[in-house]
Amino acid sequence: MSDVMFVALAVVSTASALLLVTRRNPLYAALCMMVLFGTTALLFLKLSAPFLAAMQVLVYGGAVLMLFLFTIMLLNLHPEELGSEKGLTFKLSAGILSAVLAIFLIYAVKFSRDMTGGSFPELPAGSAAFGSAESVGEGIFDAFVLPFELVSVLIVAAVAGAIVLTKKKL
Amino acid sequence: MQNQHGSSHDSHGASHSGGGHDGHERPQDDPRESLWYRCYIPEIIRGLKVTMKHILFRPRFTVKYPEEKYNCPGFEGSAPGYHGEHRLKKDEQGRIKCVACLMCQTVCPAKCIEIEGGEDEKGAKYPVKFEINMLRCIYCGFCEEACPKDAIELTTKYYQVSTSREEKIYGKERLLNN
Amino acid sequence: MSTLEIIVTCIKVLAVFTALQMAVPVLVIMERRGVSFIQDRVGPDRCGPFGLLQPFADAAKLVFKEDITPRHVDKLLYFLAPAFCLIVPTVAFAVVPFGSGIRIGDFTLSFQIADFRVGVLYLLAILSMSSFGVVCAGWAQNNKYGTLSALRGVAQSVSYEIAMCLAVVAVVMSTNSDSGVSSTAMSTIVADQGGTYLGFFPKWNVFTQPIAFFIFLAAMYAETNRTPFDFVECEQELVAGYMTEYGSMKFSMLFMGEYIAMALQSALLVTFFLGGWTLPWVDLGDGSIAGGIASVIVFLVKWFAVAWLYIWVRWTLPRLRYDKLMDLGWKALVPLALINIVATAFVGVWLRS
Repeated sequence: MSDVMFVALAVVSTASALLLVTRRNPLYAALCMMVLFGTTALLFLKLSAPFLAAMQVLVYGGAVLMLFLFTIMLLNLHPEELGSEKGLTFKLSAGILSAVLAIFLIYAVKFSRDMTGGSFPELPAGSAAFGSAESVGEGIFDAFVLPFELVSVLIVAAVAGAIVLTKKKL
Repeated sequence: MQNQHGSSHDSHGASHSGGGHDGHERPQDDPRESLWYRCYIPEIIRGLKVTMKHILFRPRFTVKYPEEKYNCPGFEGSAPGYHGEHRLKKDEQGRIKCVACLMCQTVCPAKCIEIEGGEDEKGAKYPVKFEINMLRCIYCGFCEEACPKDAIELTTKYYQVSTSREEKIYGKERLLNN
Repeated sequence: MSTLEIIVTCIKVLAVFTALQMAVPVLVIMERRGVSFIQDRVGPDRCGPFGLLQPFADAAKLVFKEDITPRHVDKLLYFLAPAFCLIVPTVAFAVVPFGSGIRIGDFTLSFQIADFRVGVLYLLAILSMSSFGVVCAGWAQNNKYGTLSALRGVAQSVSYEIAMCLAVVAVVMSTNSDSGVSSTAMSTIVADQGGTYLGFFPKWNVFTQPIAFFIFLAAMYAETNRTPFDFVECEQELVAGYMTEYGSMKFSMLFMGEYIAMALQSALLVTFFLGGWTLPWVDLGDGSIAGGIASVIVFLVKWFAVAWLYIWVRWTLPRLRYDKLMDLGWKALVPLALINIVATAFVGVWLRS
């Protein structure tokens, strides 16, 4: 049952990811992206990480995707403005590069599996709260509070930079 | 988008120095610039009170038509100045006032009046046939103004329903009884 | 999960879905009669007693209209958008607790479809997708009104979602989770609001988090695209916005989606701030049948009150100007919500020490 679900989700997410990069209509691509985010969230849920699943939908499915849509609408590209189809050489080289990346990823998974003696490690004992909002919150605001705050400073700097770049008059 | 943003920024900056808003000058003591007003909530509650007053205390203007007829105060059962169906008048002796002079038929812009004149035994003229096609009539009231004998007038009857086109051509009897 | 639980959950899903579909006619007749009273009119009173059957007559009219698909639309998105508009708010209802529960033997029938530990996050996640239907509809119909409406819809919902999420964060922070329950579960938030302070004052979040309440209220109107924030479908400017090219059943699906979203937001306001199904002076969560039914009634009464507020505000206030909308969202509500969160944190720590 669990494996069937995993395979189904994996197939759907991979297919939607492929469709995402091959669609010429930007809104269809965004639609595929939403399916992709949704299935990824379900995969997280299956890995007993409900907080991560909710964040996946909230941040990526909600905010990021909406910003993409906003940009698509503002640009409002006509089909002729999208540029011509890329040539065969381009497509071929892109395909080869992604194939190489895929092989690397599969090898990495296999390598880590070999390191732990042929099977993935079980979750540490007594980790019922693993992946829950509480454990993530404790991680962020207790154990890793300094890195977290540093990241937030980085993001504030990025936001300030963006405003400086776009505003003519401050 | 950019432009809208820019103007909003400007107006915000200017409002502190009591300046204009989108080109319109606002006086410095404009109540709309006060913090109380900009909190929205007290003013919204004031507005909600107004609408609640309408729900609870104000009379309804609706006339539930088929059951209730419209009654204009002072003109019971009629609407003053309303142009409804026509009526042919009679004089004191009960004779039809119309002398079939065809003035109304001539002046009618819609050409909806059809009159055939005739004479009785004393030589007085009267209409043998007086038809108004109500489908053509535009209720302008010119016939009423043109009539030298004050024989035709527009009533305030507004209930004009019939089930066939033929019924809409009103004959003399119908017009006399209106 | 036992077979019994699965069957019970399926029945609950069906019941809630049906209730939501039936909430639409109720809201429609409330709105139509309400607005006519506000405008000193009588409103539709011919269809059934007090005009109560009017929405069904409207629905029948819409169903029997010819279903036209304009030639210039993007077919897939055009068909997908009404479904999306309807599904998103319906799905979000899964975590809303609409009653306490009835205990029969050792089986508890809780009046909530799913009680996630991260229920609040699930809700916010689903709500964040709510403007996608508007975007699809606006884009698919391939005209300027629709595109402008979709653009406004996205900008508005992204801006106000942030304020809404931050307001909810303050509520979650002030929810007591000492006894090992998750404060992000909807049932915990409701249960925490049961009871009173000093024996008579309701322990509702609206009294402990008044700023968050008003922020949520404002964001609620913006999220459902209702006046004073109805920029998505303002008829003076955009004809009917994203609904312009829709007719017949597809229009009625968009319409229903809008009203279900309204029902959802009203239910959320009740759950987060007005104590959900709890009554301050009586304990309705004891598992008895009477308590369970009473709790559902309490929830419905509160829900009706908030839904009426929705309608009342809509027919009282004019629309804001667009830049005022953005000003209110970004310059007032978001900073206020952030300050509220910090203040809540300080007060929480001070109370605990």
